[in-house]
Amino acid sequence: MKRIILLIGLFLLPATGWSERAPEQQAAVNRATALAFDKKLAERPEWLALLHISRDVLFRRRSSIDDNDFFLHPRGRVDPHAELAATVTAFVTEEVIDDESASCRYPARYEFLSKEMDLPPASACARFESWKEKLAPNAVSMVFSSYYMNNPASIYGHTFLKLSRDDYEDSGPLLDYTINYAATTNTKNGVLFAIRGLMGGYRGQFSTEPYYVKIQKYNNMESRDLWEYRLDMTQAQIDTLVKHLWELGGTSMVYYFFNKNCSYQLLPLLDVARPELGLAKQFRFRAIPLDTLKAVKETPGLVTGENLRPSHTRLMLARRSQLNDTEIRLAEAMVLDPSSAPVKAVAGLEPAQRALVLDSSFHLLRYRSGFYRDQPPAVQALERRILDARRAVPAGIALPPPPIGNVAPPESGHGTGRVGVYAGGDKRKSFQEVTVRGSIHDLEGAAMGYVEGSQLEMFNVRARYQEGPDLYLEEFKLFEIISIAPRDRWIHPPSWTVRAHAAVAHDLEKDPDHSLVTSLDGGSGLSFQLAPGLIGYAMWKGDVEVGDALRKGHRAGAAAHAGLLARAGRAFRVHAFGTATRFFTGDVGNRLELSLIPAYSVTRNFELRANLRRSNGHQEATGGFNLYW
Amino acid sequence: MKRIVTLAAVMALVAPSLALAKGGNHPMAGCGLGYVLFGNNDNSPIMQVLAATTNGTSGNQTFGMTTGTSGCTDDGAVKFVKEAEVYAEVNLDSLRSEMAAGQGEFVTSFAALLGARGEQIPQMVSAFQTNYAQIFPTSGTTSAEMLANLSSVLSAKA
Repeated sequence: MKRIILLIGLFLLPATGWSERAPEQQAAVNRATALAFDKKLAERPEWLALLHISRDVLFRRRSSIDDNDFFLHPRGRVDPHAELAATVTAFVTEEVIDDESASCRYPARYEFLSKEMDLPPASACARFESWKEKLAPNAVSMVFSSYYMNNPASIYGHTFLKLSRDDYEDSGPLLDYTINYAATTNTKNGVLFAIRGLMGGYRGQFSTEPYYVKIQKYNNMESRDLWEYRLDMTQAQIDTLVKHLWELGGTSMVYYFFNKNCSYQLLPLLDVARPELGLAKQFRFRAIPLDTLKAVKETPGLVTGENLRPSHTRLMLARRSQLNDTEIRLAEAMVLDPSSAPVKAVAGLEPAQRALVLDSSFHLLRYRSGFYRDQPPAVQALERRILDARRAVPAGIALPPPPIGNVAPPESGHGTGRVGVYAGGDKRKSFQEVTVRGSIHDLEGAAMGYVEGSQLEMFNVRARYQEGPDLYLEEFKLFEIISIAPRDRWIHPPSWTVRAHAAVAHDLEKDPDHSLVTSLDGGSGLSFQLAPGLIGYAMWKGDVEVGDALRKGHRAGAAAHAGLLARAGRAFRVHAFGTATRFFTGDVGNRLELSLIPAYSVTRNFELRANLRRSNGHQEATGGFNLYW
Repeated sequence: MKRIVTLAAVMALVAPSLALAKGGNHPMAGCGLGYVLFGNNDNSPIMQVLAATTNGTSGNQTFGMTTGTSGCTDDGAVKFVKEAEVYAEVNLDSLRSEMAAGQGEFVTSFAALLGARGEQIPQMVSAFQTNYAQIFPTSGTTSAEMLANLSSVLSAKA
């Protein structure tokens, strides 16, 4: 019976020249496909991984690769059996014996099948061999690029793979190659990118780049930390991965921002190398790079080593911490004072200290002028004199390494999703509140693994049950980004915020189920580190609101916004802030809002939180807990 | 002395294309990357250079991949002869400061890329520092000029 089904299947194959095939060749094809069927090879995790097949959002079993060129059978994307039969047929009937042959196009598939059955010898694949020789990896790492300075929107991070080469051991990892998946887009418009990205409007592709390109881009130009996680893989598994990368080649896939993004598409690659990992199937609906990193980190034994390659800013501050006050002023003078005075002063220092001062100067100059070519002549002249002074320090002088310290790795942070349950009351009655948040971190959350003073919230829903109105929507927040970046002697980032949400306007003191107001607000200001663990900030904001609850249907105004962010130990935080808004148009009036939010992390993913809040005459107090996952 | 001879031999391998680069012709006709690196007068922010290097993707051109960088890359991996040029261009700022310091990760890898091994690496890195004024005569020295200067510095030593 099985055989009959199989034979019917063979008729459906698009196998070219099936009728022209010699009888003995046809017999070989039949034997091989029958064997593949008997061994149920099409259901093996190895085979499904090679095709990138898993359940999609609608629980359909299909490949995330929608490029027909990747498959040998027209239904290969959804039918692993048909694709297997077509692949076996191609290998058995292979006549081309060069780079264009099936075994050269699909070396990983060939490797898998040749272990299960006798196949004709693989062709000589000159191009593949020379490419493989070039990469020649003996280790694989996953690399996570963390956040831009002062840009919480980048909190999602980015991941790519790094293939390390043994023969370049002397040279360090800069010459390693990376495997990167990215959307192919020409737009520089972030909003357009986000919208099209959400809807699958782009296609993505894998690319290889030397690691030094990534380092220049992320560490230097964007000043992001790079975290390297070495993965436990045998040489045979790495070879399989390399073969599979070759199979993918220029294959493109629809790029979905949420679940088929840069970090998701790396997981099928790891599954190919180690099919038992099953990483890809854990991320059907939502693949935040941070979560994919956690999945990798939490797979027992998979990560064997971890290394931080600090951002330029982190490195600069670490270097500066090795200088005393006089030396810091000297390093600044080398950048700010074009007279010959600082050069003379530097020349008077001991060689090692001179080198440290000049290295700090160089970092500061780069920080201020940016990593761009064609700097103005004045900047070039300043750089030249720093480097001329630097090369006078003999190369043999040993310098202490920059004290980077213990930086909490990104995977040590709380989960990216959150639910919360609260109870509270206002002047009228008590209420219960349930909140669900899509992502990722707020100011009051534990900062470990994130950046203190940064917030990126998206898709935060808060619903309340209160007698009288019963169930109502307290708030739907599309997004809120806050960056509280304290001013530093060398770093002067603006602090800023932007928010789009619909929330009950409690200052109207109307029925909460009839006072939902949609608003967009944002602004910028300054913040200062007042003491260790205490940040103060102040901002100007603009605010536009629309809603039926407003008499004229809208109001717009300006606000002064200030707050204190205190932290005691790793577990306890308090955020106190106030906003005074003057609405000039629409419903003219004033609004004063005050909030006090203490939060205590019992564990990494369980947090107690309270909120004392007033908005004009309305007062409320809530308390409850948040669970992160 | 032996080591310098070795290094000079390596540089000689790189030198022919550098000589072309100085001659004003596009040294790698038909090669997109080389065009961006040397034909674009180096006035682009580094991102554009990086963007160009990403043109070559991994894998197999029989899968319909076409790129303008076929002269530069073997299916996405940078060809050896061009490797020093690409490296020098992308990392020019880092090389400028680390050559002055006579130490650092970028100069170490660069020495290894030029063929130095083991003991030879610190020696070559130290030679970068000693000959800094010839290698980077001005603050505006381009990567192609730097490589040509380096080539003549190392040949002179031999």
